[in-house]
Amino acid sequence: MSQATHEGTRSLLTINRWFVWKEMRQLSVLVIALLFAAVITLLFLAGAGSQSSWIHETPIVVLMFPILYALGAGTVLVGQEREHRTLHWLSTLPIPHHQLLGTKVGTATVGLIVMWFLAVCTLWLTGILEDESPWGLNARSNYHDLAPISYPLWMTHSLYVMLCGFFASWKFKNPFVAIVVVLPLSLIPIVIAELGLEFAQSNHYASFVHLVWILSSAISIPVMGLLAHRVAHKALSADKPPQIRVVSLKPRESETVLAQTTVFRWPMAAFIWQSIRSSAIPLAILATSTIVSMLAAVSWLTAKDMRYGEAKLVGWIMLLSLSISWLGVLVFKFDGSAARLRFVADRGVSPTKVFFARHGVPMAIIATMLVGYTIIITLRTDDQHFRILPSTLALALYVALFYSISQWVSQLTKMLTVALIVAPLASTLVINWWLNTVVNMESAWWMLGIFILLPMLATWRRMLPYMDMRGQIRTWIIAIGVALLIITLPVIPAVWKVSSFLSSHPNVTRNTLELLEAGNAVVKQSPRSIVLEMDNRDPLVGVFRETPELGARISAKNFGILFPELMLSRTEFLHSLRDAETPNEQAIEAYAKTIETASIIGHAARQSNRWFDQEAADRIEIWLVDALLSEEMQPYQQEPFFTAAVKRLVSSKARLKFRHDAVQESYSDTFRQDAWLNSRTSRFNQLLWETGHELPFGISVSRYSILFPIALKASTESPPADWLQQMHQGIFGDRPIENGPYGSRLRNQPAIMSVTSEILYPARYWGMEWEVDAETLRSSFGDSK
Amino acid sequence: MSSDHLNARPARCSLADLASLSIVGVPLSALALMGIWSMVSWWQQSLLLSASERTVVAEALSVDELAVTTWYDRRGSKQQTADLNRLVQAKTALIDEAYLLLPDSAKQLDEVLTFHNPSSSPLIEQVAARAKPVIAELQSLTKSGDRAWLPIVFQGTSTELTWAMHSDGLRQLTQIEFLDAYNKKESRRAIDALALMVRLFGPDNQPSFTADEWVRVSGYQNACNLVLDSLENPQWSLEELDEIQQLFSEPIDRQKHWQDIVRGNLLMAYPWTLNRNSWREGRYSGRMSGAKHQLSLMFLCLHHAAPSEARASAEIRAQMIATPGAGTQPHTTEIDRLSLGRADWSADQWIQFPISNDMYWQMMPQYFGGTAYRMLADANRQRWTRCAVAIKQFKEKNERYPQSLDELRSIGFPRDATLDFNGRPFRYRTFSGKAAELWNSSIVAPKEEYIKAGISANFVTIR
Repeated sequence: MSQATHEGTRSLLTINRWFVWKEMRQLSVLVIALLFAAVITLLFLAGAGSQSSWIHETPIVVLMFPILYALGAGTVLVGQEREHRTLHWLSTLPIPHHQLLGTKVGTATVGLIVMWFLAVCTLWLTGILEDESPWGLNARSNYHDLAPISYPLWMTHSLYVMLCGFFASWKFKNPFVAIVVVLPLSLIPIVIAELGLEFAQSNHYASFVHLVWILSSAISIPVMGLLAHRVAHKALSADKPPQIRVVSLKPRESETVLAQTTVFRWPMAAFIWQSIRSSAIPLAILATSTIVSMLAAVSWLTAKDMRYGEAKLVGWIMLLSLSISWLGVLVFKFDGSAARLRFVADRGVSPTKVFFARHGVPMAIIATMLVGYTIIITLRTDDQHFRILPSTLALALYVALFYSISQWVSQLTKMLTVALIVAPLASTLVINWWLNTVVNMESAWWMLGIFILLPMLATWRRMLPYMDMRGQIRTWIIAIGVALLIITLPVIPAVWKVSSFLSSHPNVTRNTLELLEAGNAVVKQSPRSIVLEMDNRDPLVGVFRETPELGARISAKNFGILFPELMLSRTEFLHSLRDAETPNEQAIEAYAKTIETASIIGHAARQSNRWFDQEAADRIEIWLVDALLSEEMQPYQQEPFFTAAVKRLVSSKARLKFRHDAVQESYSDTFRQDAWLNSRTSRFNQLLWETGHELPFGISVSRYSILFPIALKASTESPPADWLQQMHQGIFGDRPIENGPYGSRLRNQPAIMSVTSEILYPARYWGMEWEVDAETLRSSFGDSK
Repeated sequence: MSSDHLNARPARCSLADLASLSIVGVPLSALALMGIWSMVSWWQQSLLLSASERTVVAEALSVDELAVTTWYDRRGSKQQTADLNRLVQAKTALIDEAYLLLPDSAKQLDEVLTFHNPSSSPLIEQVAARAKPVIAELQSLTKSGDRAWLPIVFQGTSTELTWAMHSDGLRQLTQIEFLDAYNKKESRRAIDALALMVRLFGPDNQPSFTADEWVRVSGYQNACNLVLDSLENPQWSLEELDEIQQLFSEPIDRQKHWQDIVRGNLLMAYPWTLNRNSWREGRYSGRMSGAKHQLSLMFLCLHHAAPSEARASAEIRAQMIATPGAGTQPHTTEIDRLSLGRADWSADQWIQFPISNDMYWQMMPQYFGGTAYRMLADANRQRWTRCAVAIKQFKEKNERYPQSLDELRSIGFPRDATLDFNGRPFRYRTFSGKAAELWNSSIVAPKEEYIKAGISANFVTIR
């Protein structure tokens, strides 16, 4: 007896081991498909997304995959048995039902643990969740306050979802219906938590909702487990014997009518009818959800009060996308599709005909939705209300992409459940890729049309092998080719744009590297410059007077104080002349002091090794030259203050050298440091350092890498003929130069007309008439050497 | 089913065939027909748009950005530009000084620039003393007859706002000058300051874009407010009142302002509207550079506008330019009507990409309607100020307040100037001959049109 029992146990164990292996193989397809999708998604997030989207979206994406696995595991393990008609065979094996069920649930649970292990490892390796532990119940994503990223919560919930999957798969024969039923069932704990929040009116959203959620999931696990066990036991039990009925040989009248009217003479009509009959329930469900979700989304899009509506709107758009995607899946995955298509293939039916017949009904549903949408947006009459609605074309392209990708996935995958889970993911990825190529690579929007057409062409091309159930490898090779085309086609113009920009701006890369290298060096404080503090101006002016080689550094704020004072002083002097018959000694004295101060500060700023100070010196000299050459100054041309001021003007040659040296030095290291330090206060520095060119792939080219080399060349005795055009292009792009500060419209006017207390456009006053005037002054009244 | 049967096409279609094919054929055909219809409509509307462009907005199409800059520069003579620039820069020093003198309690300069505020008097006195040369130069410059312009760097569809900022600074400076003169009872100087304000923000001003006009209205209304507030004190002589009356009697050509600013918008924004490189605008200013902003701009701006909507946009603006009576209620009503109008429905809108133009149409009322209401409020305040001054004149002449506004005709005051924005006489009452009260509207309760006109309920007491 004991020996017999032992043998029996061994035998069962052997069978069970084989059975476990079989279950694992079935599940492996789902696991591999999900892992593949996860890797692609993460690569996309890491490569194409921004740093922010990587940090905020990755945790949600990673946590999504164990849930998707839980959603599909039951359907895969049970649904496939139904599809292959091995369920009854299983029930005839000498394995107790509870062991059979336990093995399936156990294997699925091991798979879930593996998925969770991989998810946790991924998040741990990326180090994204360093700031907040996801093991706490209240952990929420930074991406959205309401998005929980708590491991215990999602782990418990995923176990519950997996049992829901088993329950629905045992209960419903149609795997599609089973998946559809799992969706609302899996939401029950969340709905309970939200209703609880409404009832309790708690102010602590996360702590309350997450607690109720996890408790509901935990309580629901044994309940769902029992229910699943019960329906599974029923499904595995012997079917009731069919009741013996006495059937009349004479057909009923209705059957006769039906038989007469459903005679198809057109094969295409027969195929369409067959495609409807073979998946009537899924088509009915998806047609309803497509239309309803479109209507609901439109009602939210046009809602007068959109408060609290965004989440619902997103929900309806997601349901619409899911419905379209599953309509695509149904093209090649329906009840017994493979066998039915093989049947028509064996009879030599044109694969094109079958292709169009299979697409007919889903496309008709989508067309109905689009026609309905168009009618709604056309008939809307409330013109006062603000809304943004996609055009029919935009919506059509969006749904066409979801449909095209999904039907492609449907042809590539063998299992309905895998297709149902992977197709929406793949479609979302492709549409995100398209958006990414438009935003980051300046790709053309019509590239979406190519994204839609390519998968459709691929499935049409592989229709015959699919119907014959052969040529899998070639199908996959073509699929990889299509995927590569989708990935590479939009990249090619972007690569061309970047390479053509870099070839036309050879300095950009080299200079950037040089500056980066220099930026790492220690800040070198120039020994020949001191900061001009306005509170301590008079003593400092004295120092500058005594030490002519000392440079002055002027901040943008201080220049903004100094320059209006110069203008005010001149106005005061002019006013004193206008009113008085004889010159007012006091006014002359005050104005002479202003001229002396301006000439000293201007001279000192000119000695500075910083570009900004050279710009300040330009503007002070413009004021000085205009003041000294003015009519009202003629009686004072021999006064010491006048000649001293003229002597402080540097020669044109020296001015060029000062500018060149300052640009060079700012360019190499000092300016870099100062630019960052002053970036908040000086618009000049901001303008130089902000992005001037944004190329595809997120490549930003700061203006400095273009403007510095131009300024270096412009500050020589023989500047390039087109340096003004280059400066303009570097700042304003392709706008007309005449509208900008480098155009002749402003440069042909005296500089004093446009000079202001704000220093903004670099090198704006270089090479203008005032420099000639300065030289004339020097030669007439000063030391021209 | 044999393979021949499956592949062959029999001659006769059964009812079942028809039913089965209809399920697929009807929706797909409907969508296809709609697509064809929309494309035909696009083509037809494009032809209409071209015709419309040739007739309605020919100028907009012939004009490029260069021409618009030149047009902006035509604001005035460049001979005085250097002087204006010097004064504008000098003004900055004075306003900066005024901010340094602000009492701790005040955050804004305007908070202390009021009548008889003991805490602000030293500030006003000190800044006004320093501002004397600048004010005098400004007086001289604005009286010269030449118009100065600021050679600003032109940015896209509007001026750089530099002029707006400087204008506000000039407004503050002239206000300081007026208050100082008024506080010191130097009536001549005060009236000169008012005259300067009127020259800067009144009939001589040439706004080119909506923002300029908003600043002009703000400056002019400020001058009106100063006069209205000064009427509480018996400072002005009859002659001075007459002079003030004359200052605010000068008609402001609001219709020309209106035509200029809408034309400016049409010239600049319309080609942009038609998507002749719609995001070039952002790239120019450097704030929205690069491709990353393209998507947001696609959703925010008229990108690939349907021809019917582009045409409506241009035609509505052209109608706005032609709408007469800027500064009157019928004008605002008409602009409201036009602003709220939109393209007649056309199937070409189905295939514009990516979204409908609702956001654009939503902006129209604020943009143009808002300006029309500002002009109406400006015209209303001008008449209100004149009317209040006339009551004061009547009182000085007759030693009593008029019984009604009709009585003002006896001193030669036109009836038109006693009418408010909606064409009815301002609300007026006297208090036992000791004071009079003039409201800025005939409407007692804040009714809809009162609110719509952008006029807050207010009155002035005349003693």
